[in-house]
Amino acid sequence: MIEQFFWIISLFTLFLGVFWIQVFLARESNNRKPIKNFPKVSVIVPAKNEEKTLAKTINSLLKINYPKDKLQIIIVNDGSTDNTEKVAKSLINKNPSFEMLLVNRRANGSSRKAAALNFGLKFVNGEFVACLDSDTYVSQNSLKRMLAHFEDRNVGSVISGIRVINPDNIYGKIQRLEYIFTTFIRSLMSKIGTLHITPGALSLYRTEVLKKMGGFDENSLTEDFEIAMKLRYNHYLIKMEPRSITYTSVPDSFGSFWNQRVRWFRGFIETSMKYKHMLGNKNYGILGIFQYPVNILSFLIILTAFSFLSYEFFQRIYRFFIKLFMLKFGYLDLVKIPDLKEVILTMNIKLIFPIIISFIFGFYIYLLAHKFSNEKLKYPFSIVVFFTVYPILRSLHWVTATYKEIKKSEKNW
Amino acid sequence: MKKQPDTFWMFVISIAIAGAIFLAGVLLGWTLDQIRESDILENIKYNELDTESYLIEKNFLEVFGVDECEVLRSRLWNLKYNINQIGLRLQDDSKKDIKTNLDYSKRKYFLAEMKLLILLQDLNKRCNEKYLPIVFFYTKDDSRSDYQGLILTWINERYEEKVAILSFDRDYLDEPLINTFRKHYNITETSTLIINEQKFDDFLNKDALVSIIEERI
Repeated sequence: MIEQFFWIISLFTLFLGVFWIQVFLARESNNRKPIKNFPKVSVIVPAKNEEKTLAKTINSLLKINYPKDKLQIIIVNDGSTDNTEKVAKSLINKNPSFEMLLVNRRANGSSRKAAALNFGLKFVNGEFVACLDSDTYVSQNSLKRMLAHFEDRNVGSVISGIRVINPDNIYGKIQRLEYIFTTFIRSLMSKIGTLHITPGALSLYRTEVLKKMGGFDENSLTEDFEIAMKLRYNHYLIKMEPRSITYTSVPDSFGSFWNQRVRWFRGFIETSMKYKHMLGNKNYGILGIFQYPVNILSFLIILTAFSFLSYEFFQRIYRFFIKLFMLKFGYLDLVKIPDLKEVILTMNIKLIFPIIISFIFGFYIYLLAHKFSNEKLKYPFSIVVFFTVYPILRSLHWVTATYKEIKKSEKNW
Repeated sequence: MKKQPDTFWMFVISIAIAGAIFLAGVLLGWTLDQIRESDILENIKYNELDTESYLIEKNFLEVFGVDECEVLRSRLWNLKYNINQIGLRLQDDSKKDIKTNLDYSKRKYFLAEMKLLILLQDLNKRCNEKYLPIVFFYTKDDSRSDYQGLILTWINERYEEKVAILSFDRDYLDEPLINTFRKHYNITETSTLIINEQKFDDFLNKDALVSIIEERI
C-alpha cells in the first residue's frame, strides 16, 4: 500500500518536474512595448508598528523611476502604538513635492491587513493601485515594467519578483531559497496563465477592478491569496514581471516563521474551500483543470505522505525499543554494517529509481530558479536543510494548519 | 500582447517522459530481481554441492577409517553458515514482497535446513557431540514470531559454535515435508520452538532461552 502510494507520488512529481521544465524552455511570443503614457498610480502602504522600516520603504518609493505627479502614496497607520505616525508625518513634511498622505485607522474593527488596505483604498485616486508591505523596498523600474502588462485588458493584477533582504540566520536563509524557488515557479505560472497569488510585498491592480470586486476580504487570513482567487474567479489574469524586484524582510525566529506559515496554509485551505467550484471547472481554463487540482492534490499528498511516514517512523522507533528491551541491549550486537552487494541487492529499485530522478529534476529546477533570479548558489548548509529537514517542517505546518481549520481555531493574524 | 505557450503538448510530453522514467524504474527493478534471484539460486546450488561433498567426504573417511569428527565438524559448520545467509536473504525478499521465484528458493532452503538437521543429529551420535539444533516454526507477519526470531538471531550470534537455528514457515504447505514436520511435532501455535525434541509453545524470552540452551550444551 505504502509502496503503491509512493509510486503515485513519484510519478506525479516526475510529471510536474518535466512539465515545468518544458514551460521554462517554451518560448513566449512577446511584443509587449514599454509604456509611453504614464497612468496615475496610487501605492497603499499599510503600517502597524513599523517605525523602524517605514522610512526605508517610503524612500525606496520616492526614488522610483516614475513621474512624481503620477504617483500617490497612502500610508495607512493601522493603530500603531509606536512612532509610526511620527515617522510618516516626518516623511510627508520632508517630501512636499510628492502626493503623500497619512491616514489613521482606528483598530477597533478588524485588525487584519485587509482592513487597512480597504481603508487606504478609499483615498485612492490613481488608475492603478499598488499594495506594498511597510517592510519591503522596491527597485527603481518596478512600476514601469509592471504597468506594461496592463496593455492586455484581461490582466487584473501584476506582481513582482521577491528577494529576501535578511538571510541572517538559518530561517532567513531557508526562506531566501524558498523565495527564489517560488518566484521562479510564479513566473512559469504567469507564462501559462495559471498564476493565482498577488503577494503583499508588491502587487499592482486595476483600481476599477479592485473596487468593483469589493476590495480585500477582511475575514481572510491571507487576503493576498483571496484577492488573487477573486480576480481569477472574475476571469482576470494575473501576470508576473520578473524584472521588477521587491526586497522583503522575512521572519527571523522559529516562532514567527511557524506562525506565518501556519497562517498562510490555513489561508490556502480557507480560500480553496471558498473557490472550490473553480476546481476542475474548464470555464477557468488551465487554472481550473490543471493548476487548481494540482494544488489540492499536492496538499492531500503532503498530508497522506506525512501520515504514512510518521506511522512508519514511530512504528520503527517502537519496534527498536521493544527489541532493545527484549534483548536487554544485546540488540546492539546484532546491528551490523551491511556490505555494498547486500545493500544493492536488497534495494527496492522500482521505487527508489523514480524518486531519485524526481529529486534530480527538483534540484535542476532549483538550479534554474537561481539562474533565473541571477542569484548565486550559496549557504550550502541551508541548502542541505532545505532539501532534508525543511520538507518535514513544512509538512508539520500543513498538518497544524489543517488541524486548526478542522477545529475551527481562532484566526489570529 | 503576449501569447501563452501551448500547454497541450507539454502535458503529453510530460506524461510520456514521466511514464518512461517510471517504466525504466520498473525495468531496472525487474533486472535487479533477476540478479537477486540468480544470486540466491547460485548460493543454494553451491550449498547443495557442499552438502554432497560433505557426504562423500564422510563416506570416504568411514571407508578409510580416518578420524572423521574434527573434519566433519568444521565442514558442517560452514554449511550451517551458508544456509543462514540464504535464509536471511530469503527473509529480506519475503519482507519486501519481491516477486522473485521465491517458492522454488524457499523449498530448496527448507530442504537444505532439514538435511542440515539430519546431518547434525548424525554428527552428535557419531562423534558424541552436543551440538544443539533449534527448530523454529514461525508465522509470517506475526509479531510474536518476529520477536522470537529476533531472540534466536541473538542466540545464534552468542552460541555460534554450539547452536544451529533452523527456521520453518509453518504455513508453507507447498513443501510437503513441512506438513510432515508439523504433524510430527503437533505444531498449533504461531511460533513454536523444538529444542532437543522438546516442544516449547510459549514465547521464550532471552533469559529463558539462554537457560534452556545452557542446560543442554
